[in-house]
Amino acid sequence: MMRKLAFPAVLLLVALYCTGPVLWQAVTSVKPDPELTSLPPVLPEHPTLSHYISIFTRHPFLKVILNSTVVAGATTVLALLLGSFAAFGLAKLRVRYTSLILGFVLSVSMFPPIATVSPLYLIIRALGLRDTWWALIVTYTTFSLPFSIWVLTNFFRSIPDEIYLASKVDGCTPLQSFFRVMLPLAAPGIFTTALLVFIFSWNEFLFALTFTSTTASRTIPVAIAMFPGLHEVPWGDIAAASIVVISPLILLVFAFQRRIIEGLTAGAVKG
Amino acid sequence: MASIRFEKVFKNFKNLGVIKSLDLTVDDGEFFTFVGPSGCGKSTILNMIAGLEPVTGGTIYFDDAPVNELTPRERDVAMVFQSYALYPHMSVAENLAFPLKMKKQPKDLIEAEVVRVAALLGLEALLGRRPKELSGGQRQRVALGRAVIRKPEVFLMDEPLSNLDARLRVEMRAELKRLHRQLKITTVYVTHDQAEAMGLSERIAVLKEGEVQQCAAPHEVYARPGNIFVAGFIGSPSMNFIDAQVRGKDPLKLEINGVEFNPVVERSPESDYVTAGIRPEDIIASKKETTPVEALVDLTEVEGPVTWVNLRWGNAALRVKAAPEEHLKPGDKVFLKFSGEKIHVFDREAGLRL
Repeated sequence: MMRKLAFPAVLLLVALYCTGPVLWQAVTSVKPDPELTSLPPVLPEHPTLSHYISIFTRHPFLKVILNSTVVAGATTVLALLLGSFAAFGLAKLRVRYTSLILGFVLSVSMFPPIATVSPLYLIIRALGLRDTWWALIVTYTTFSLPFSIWVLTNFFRSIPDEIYLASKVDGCTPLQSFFRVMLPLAAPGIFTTALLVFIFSWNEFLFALTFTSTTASRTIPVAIAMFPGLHEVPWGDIAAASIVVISPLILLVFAFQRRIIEGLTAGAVKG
Repeated sequence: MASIRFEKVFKNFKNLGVIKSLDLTVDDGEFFTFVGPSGCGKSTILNMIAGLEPVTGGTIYFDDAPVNELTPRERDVAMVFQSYALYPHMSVAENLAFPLKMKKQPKDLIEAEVVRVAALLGLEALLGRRPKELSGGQRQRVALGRAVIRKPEVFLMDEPLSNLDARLRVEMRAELKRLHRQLKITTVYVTHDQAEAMGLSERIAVLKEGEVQQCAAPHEVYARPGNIFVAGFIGSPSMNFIDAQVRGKDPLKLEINGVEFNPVVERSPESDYVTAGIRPEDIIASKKETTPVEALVDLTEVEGPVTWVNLRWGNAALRVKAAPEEHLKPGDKVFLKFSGEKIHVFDREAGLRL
């Protein structure tokens, strides 16, 4: 009896530990201002949507969400497009020194962002990209490419060579093999990578803070950081904004989770 | 359809010769098999024909056109892989249709061909299924169907039956033969199973370490193996090899364990010692004293119509045939009867047939 209950209890504990901060934020976001600092963070007596209204009326939050969506979306598309081509080549085509290339690619992401942010800023300024979407899209793509190349190379490698050879014999050019056979089979990997790249770009703060200066390109994390005024920290607004920001991610994870599981169970070469 | 000609084809992997100077022709419409132990380079030959692997030197011709520089797509070959290599994300019908789709054939023609091939291979009921929902034999047939659907110039098969269980393998062997007789497409088959090679092919090439040891019709290879390797590789159970002393050169007289033999050879041995090869099926052991050659049973193995017997004859270990009715047991004393003309003689130095 004890054993039967122990496992669910542990699961519940872990789940609570993980979702705790999110739940706290959610509760805070619907609290009227006077109740904000009350501890413990129990449910409010008079729930209010005023914070949600406030972030869209007192701040240009819609534009900021658009900025984030475009930047994260474009980064994901670019990183996957370039990443999957590179990964396919490294995994299945006759390429020499693949491990050397992979190591070199990885070295790109080894520099701490804080060390590269100043030189990158100079480059961005020189290119006239400051405070544009492109400043962030290019930077994020650069930093997420190594990751996506590594993950996708492993996914393409896990597809048996014979399937690729069969598609060649069946009359595919390498590009046709890629789109008609390899890509559909690597779908679980593609989705996983897409999700992680999207989350990275959606949440990134340092580069976004440095390269943007107005709502023309400012992304959500930066915009939230700009909420506090001189004399007050609007915790309610921050909480509401945070909830707005993470909801698409949560939806994405749930949506892709199904695809990932479907992909993984789609069947391999042999039974 | 086409003939395939190899002209001084060789292949190196990192300076290691995998194929050493291959010179042979597979005739138009022929069922030709490369057989050899694993690592002998037989799959490499297949990949070179398909264009999946470039040749290091020499030329491969389809009919009279060199194909070295052509991609697999341009060579118009079809291949069946050992693991079937079906596309897991496509249904059986889509798998079958794929090669035609890549050839940009009209839709109604593709549909008609899928139906035709499905009927040919008994796949009609499975067209909507995914590969993971099929049994091994069904997957094998889908792989065959995908290969035959576009009527290729050349049909390549890389150990297509080795993933099937023994019974299914025999069934599919018959099916392959039937398919070849119907379609008459030049077929190059690769296997390590000599029985499969013998049963299927019109001609076989026995490979060892990238070199063709012998290339002939199966019965010819069986009856007149060109060297000791081929003699030991072809035929099951494999041939017995015994040292023999030359007692007379013309006609050849051999002495083995004090018994004299008069095998037929094409040329006389140079040295006084040779290796004699005798197939187990050419020696009959019996408890009845019909011959003076006496041996001691070590082990018996019942195989339906015959019993294979491991025995000691002097200081030689032999495997021979016995009638099942003899009910031989380890330790029994038996008498051996040799079919004298079926003794193969090889020279000691190079192991070549005399």
